Amino acid sequence: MVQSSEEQRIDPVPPPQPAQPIDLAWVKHLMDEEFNPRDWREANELALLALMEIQEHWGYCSEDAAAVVAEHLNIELQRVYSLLTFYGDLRTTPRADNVYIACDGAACNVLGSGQLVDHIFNRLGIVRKGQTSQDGKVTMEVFSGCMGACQVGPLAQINGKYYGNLNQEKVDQILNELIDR
Amino acid sequence: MTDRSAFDQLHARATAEWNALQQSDKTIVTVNIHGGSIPVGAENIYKNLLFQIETQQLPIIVRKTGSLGFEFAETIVQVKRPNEPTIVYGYITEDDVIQFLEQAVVGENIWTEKALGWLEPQGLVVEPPMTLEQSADEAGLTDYKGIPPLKRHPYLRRQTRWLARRWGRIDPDSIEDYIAEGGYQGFVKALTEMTPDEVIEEVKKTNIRGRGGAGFQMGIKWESGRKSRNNQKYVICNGHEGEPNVFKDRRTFESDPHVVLEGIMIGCIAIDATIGYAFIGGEFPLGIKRFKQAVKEAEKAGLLGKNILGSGKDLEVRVRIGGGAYISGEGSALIYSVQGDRPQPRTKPPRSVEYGLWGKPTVVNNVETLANAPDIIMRGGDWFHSIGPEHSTGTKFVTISGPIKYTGVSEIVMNMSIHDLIYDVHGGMREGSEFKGFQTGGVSGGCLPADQLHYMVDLEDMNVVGGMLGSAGFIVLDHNTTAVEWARYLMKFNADESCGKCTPCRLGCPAMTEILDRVRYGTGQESDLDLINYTGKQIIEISLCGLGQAAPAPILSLVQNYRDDFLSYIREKRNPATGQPLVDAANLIVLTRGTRKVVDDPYRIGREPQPVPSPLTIESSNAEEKKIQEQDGPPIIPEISRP
Repeated sequence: MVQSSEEQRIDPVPPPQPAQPIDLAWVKHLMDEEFNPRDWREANELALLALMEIQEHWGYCSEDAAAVVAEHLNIELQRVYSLLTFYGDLRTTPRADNVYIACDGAACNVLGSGQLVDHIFNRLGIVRKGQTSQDGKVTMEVFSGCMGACQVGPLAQINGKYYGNLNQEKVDQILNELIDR
Repeated sequence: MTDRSAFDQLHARATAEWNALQQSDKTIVTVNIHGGSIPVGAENIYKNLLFQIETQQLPIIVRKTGSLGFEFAETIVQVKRPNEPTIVYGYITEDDVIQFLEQAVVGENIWTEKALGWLEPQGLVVEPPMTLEQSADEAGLTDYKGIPPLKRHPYLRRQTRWLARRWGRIDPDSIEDYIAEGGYQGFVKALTEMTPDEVIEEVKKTNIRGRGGAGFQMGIKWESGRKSRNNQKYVICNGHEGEPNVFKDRRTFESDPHVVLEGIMIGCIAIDATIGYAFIGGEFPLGIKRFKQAVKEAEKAGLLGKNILGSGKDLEVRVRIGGGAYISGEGSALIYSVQGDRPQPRTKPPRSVEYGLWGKPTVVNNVETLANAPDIIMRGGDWFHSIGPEHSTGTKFVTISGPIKYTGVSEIVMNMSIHDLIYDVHGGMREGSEFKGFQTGGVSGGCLPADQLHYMVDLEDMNVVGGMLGSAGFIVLDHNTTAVEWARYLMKFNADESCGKCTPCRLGCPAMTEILDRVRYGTGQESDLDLINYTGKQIIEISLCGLGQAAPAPILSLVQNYRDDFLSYIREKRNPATGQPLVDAANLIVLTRGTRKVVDDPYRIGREPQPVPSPLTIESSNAEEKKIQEQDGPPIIPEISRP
């Protein structure tokens, strides 16, 4: 059966629904407490820091929360949205309970992380970094910077814990544990 | 602090505390905690040591410190017993703690299996351009109870330790440690004894060039910053180290944050700025934490704030964090990022020293460049100028990663060939790995094959063969990596990180990835190599910023230097490293639960997915199709007619 190229480009993994929506009152409180710019310049500078702070606490930063930030700092909403959509670290949808962050820095790549990442993508049935597997259990992130422990590469950070010297067997074992949990 | 004498008092107090600690009659155990040792369990070792000492009530002091540059031997723990030199132990794991306490700390034994060497009281420091081995020879250091001096360790022998002399020695969270080791002297001297013009004169004498990649003269930059007339100027420290294998700035932030802060403060004085910024990449949370702590401590000590030391000058240093965009490291993009805009570079001129942050004159310097400033003030420009060759003065941090024996941050004088750097400093290839290539300039320089290793590691020499020092992050490739896979990785990285402002980079980088994918999946032709050359040169010529201008450079050099690899993919359709036939792109299509996906579809790189539902996910009224859907295993895709 011949498949047209358009058919192949289907990417229908739906983003998981936020398990816990961001409490906007919390965001407002945070802004009141920590982000009080002295002038309009500083207000602009603080926008990115505020978004990152929200993400650090809630695991993601929704568009509603960004609207609160814009209102508090008195800057245009589109400016805050433009930051939210540009930066690779910022997410508008939450991650799953398990987060697998594979290091795909140059050194890890030379040591074989590229093939590992392909393998995990296949295993979880996802196409691109940042997606969650279909059972909603594991979110896969690929970190193209450097985690800074190139001596034990390929490296991955799984639920905040580091795993070094990975190979396909170890990865399979780890994924089995994550999925069974 | 109100005047100079208050600082001198602080210095005297800190020195007394430091000396008391060094001559303490208790054993001191120092754990190296930094971004490279936390993944192998340094924090747990630290906590476990504290716990054991508390439960056993041992008279031991436990300290934490930054990196010693020995990434390959982490976790490193240093033990200083009274009336003994410091013994440095490496490869300590979480399970070793109790054995370590028994064998290496309590009593008088030395755990010879794990000992790397012994260290003198003044630590790993040598006056450049001397190497550590030369200084060990001069001092006549010999083995201590069968342990060799650390300075003779094969990794350190040909290194110089000057800028990193406080690494792995002071507590990065303590300003007192830094002051006791001679910190903030340069700042105080520049503030109270020198005029800004004298500061700039000293910096100009050094001929020091920027360490971030472009290699612009720091003195000239500062001078133009000083000459621009404006009521407000800024200094920005570019600590956004986004290259995928470079961690020298990260280790500087983690091991010696105050030296960066002092550099920013000296820069502010030199150009008359009152606000300095430190822009740190979001990838290294520990570095951010330690630098923020450094700013806080300096504010508390009165070195930042209003009317510093009674000089009438105000200074403020703000910390800004990048959000994981590689392009933020580019000069103009960084300024936009600090401003809270999308970091997209702009055309130059005007340069940022004329029109920078908020339209004001702004000096942007790399972390390592600024970290050199305190020494330049204290020792003078002529001293600095005497180190290394004329066009590349001073010492340089180098990070090499890949299948190499000693991974880590080394510090060298720039008069060493690439071959010596790989084999004499970093120990050569690991067992079972065969040298294939030397990737220069992070992801932006050429890849040099084995016959080009006689070029020097400096800012000029390797440019003639397409290499580049950049920020001195290098990757060594071994025989398991093919040039095609490597080229594709580099190109994909740049295509992902392209900001999308200018067309040649936005469209050209994905297009080149596409060509390389064609080759990788066995559908490439020999004419594709010419196409790579043609496209690459176009991108280099007409891109707006450094990312686009450098992105195709490694690919072009890979095609030139490793043509056989490419031809093996194209003609024989097999992977030259493994000898296996290539993976057919059609096999990569996976079918899961009625949705079809293509793993890394080469035609979709750089584009957002189109949310088109699969025909199988649409509720079908046709009973036959429903039946197909309910079957186990991969569903059969019905042919559908499209208008």
